[in-house]
This record gives sequence, C-alpha cells and structure tokens, in this order.
Amino acid sequence: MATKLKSADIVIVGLGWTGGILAKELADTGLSIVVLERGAPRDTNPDFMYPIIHDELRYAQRHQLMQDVSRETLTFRNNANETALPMRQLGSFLPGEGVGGAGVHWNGVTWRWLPWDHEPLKLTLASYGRSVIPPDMQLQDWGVSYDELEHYYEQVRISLWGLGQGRQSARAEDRGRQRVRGTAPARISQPADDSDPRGALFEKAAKSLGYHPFPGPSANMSQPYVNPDGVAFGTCHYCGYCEGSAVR
Amino acid sequence: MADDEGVRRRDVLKGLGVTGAVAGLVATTAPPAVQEAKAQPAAPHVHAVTRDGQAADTFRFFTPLEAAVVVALVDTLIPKDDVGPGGVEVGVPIFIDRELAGAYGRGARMYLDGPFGQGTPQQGYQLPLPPADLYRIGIADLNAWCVKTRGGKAFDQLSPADRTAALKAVEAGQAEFAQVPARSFFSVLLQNTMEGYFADPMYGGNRNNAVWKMIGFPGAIGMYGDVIEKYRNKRYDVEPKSIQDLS
Repeated sequence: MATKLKSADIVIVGLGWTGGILAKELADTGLSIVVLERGAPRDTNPDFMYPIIHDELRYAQRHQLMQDVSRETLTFRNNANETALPMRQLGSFLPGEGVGGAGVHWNGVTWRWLPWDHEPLKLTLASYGRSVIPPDMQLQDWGVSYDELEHYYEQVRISLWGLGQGRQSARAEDRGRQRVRGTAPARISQPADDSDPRGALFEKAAKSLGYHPFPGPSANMSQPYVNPDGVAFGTCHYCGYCEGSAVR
Repeated sequence: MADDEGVRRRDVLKGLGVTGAVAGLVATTAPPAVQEAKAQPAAPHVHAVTRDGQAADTFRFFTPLEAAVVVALVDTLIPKDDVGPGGVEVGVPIFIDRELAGAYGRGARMYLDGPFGQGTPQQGYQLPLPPADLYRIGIADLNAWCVKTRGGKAFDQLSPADRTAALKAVEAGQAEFAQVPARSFFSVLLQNTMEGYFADPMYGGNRNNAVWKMIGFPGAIGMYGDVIEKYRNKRYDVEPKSIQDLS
C-alpha cells in the first residue's frame, strides 16, 4: 500500500552536488523541502575515517562508494552497429551513489569553464566568421556568459572547495601568467601544495622553455579551512588514495 | 575465438535455463559437469587441507577437490621466487575462498539480469553467473579439459611446467571449456589472485604484509603530511601497517 505523506513545497531528487547546493540555497527561504536519495546516508565520521577508508579492496576494487549496479544500471554500446548490453559491474567510469553523490569520490579538481566554453558560437563568429562552421554542426551558446557566472563560480569555490591553492586562468590569453580572473582573494588563499616532485620537475622544464606554468586548482587543503557555512576542512595527509589506489 | 566463445556462452545460458529470461540458479537443466560440481556440498563445510607440509587453512566455499585446484592455480600464477613470496604462502587461496563465500561471490554488486548477448570485449563481463558460480563451473570445466587433453590428469595433478602450459592455453582462449568461456574464467581468477596478493591482510591474503614489504609500499598508513619534506626524493623505508595494525 502506498503511504501518502504530507506534501512539501519542494522535492529534490538526488542529494549529490546539484541537489545538495539547491537544498542549501533553498533552506534559507522558509519553504518546506524534502530530498529523496536512493543511496545510503553518509558523513565524514564515521564513513570516511582513517584507517578504514584506506581499504583498496573495498573502495578501489569493489567500488563501495559507487553506484550499486545490481539495483540500477545502464546499457551501452560503442557504436551504432553494436547491440547495447547492460554494464554488469562498474569499470571505466564510476557513477556515485548516496548522500554526497559524486562529491564523495571527487578528487578535488574542477576547472571552471573559460569564456569561450560558455559562448562557443558567438566567440567563434567574432574571431573566425561563419565560414569555419560546417552547415551540419549544431554549435550553440549556453545562454549565460562567463561574466554572468563568475560570481557563482567564486561562491562555489569558496564554499565547497574553498581555497583553490592553485590558480586557473579564466581568460585564454592569461593562461600561465597568473594574472587571472577567479584567482583566490589573498585573504583566503593558501600556499600552493608543492608536494609532488613531478610537478616541480615539470615546472622547471616548462620555465626553461619560456612557458609560464602555474599550479592547477586543487581543493586538497594545505592548511585547515572553515568555509562560510562553518564546514571544517582538514589538511591533506598526502595519503595517495585520491584515485582509489595508492599503488596504482 | 570470439564466435566460438559466443556459441559456448549461449550454451551456458541455455544450460542454465536463462536464455531470454531472468538469470536462474544452476538448476535441473544444468549440463552434467555442472551437476557434478553442484553435487558436492556447496557451503558451509570445513576441511583442513595441507600444503607444503603445514597445517593449512579452512576453506568455506571450495570443496577439497576445488581447493586443491585453486591452490595449484594460484601457485602457477604467482609462484614463490627470489623476488618475493608466492601467492599460496601469503593466503591468496583463502582470500578467494572468503570472497566467494561472501557478498562478492553472490554477485551482490553485479547486474545479473537480462538482456544477455555475446557482447564485445569493450562491453565487459556478460555472463549470467555470479563469481561463485563462475568458479564452481570453471573449475569443473578446467579439470574436464585437463583430463581430456592432459593424459587423464586434473589440473592440480599436473607437473608445474604442465600447469603453466595449460594455464597459458586457458588465458589465450585455446582451452575448450564445456560450459563457460575459458578466458572469462581466467580473467576473473587472475584479477582475484592479484587482489588477494596485494589487498589488506584482513581479507586473508598478503599475510604479515609480506607483499607490501616486497614492493616497499607502507600499506594503509597514508599520513605523510609531516614527513613529506623530510623524505622528498628519498626512499620512505618503514614497516608497512595494515588497517588492523592501525586500528
């Protein structure tokens, strides 16, 4: 028998990045909100605690934080001549599940879109004219520009991954010069994480060739940080398990 | 080989009564070898088997005959040598046994319903069998094929050199398995063998962190914030710690 529950003003389906941000923003409105999530509830403590989170069999091999395909999966094929078949176990890509969604296995790097990414049609026309666009190419703008979104990019960065230790050029011509839009304001900027000797080697080599390398944006904290919502982020321990496996 | 495997796969589906329908259990229509495998007590049962003259482990999923084959398979895939320990001595057969006796063996996180089809290699595993059934049938197939082509001997009765040759044929898809594609069995076996060898010792393999010691991996420690500068470009030589060591 279906149980009829009290109606709510807003129902959000899925409590991942998108649903979570929506719920948080709407929570201030006074409207009643119900969020539906198919997976398990999770929190930093105890679900991501040391040392059990360093269990490569459970998480990297058996994908315990990811979608349970015995309950819901998808079919796929690699070209139109094949017959689509179900994905019977996770493999090449890993959809998330549960509270936090893909956020629980996020590696801490999300590049914001460049201005061109928002308006590929407009900016292609401005630079090269219509003749470079094939007639059957469905090139469209998204309807919002980088300038319109920049404030929100900043808000998300400060709230969710807070500190971007590195910097990312928003303007193509600024890439590599660190004169960037969207760089962390000085008051919340953290020293860059320079732990990776590969990065240091690459930086040295790139500079010697006359390029202007810069650290990529990363939400792996080099210092403790509390975001404007009061959520505390611990510092990165350089455990090496970001990508699931420390010996891969 | 793909076509041959496809034919056999359809035979499997037919044999298991699952063509075009929901994957069933190995049932009354199963071919003879399946019945033979299922005729042995599945679980739980307890057997103390002996290897290398030592009192050995208690298998929960594998029958004694199956356990002997799995021990021989693991020993062939990862023999003890001057680089490091063998898979058997660090407990890989017990690891596989525990995995198959539990949720993994039942296919707890696998989609095992239809539609079924031959699929391309890129479409991955497409059998209707959870790992426990794949092993039970695959071991029976392997032994039947060995008996037929290797002078009446089951896999574990072969010499080490013959085991290697037989397993190479299985890996290459050249072994004629009656019910499951030989390569599907091999790839799951190899995957599980590596998992048991390298995973945390709490799962039964990698005993005493021996494999982590071999490769110089510190194990589950993963707390390097305070030492990363000190060891920059230097070898971090510490005793590996397992999750239980740290708990």
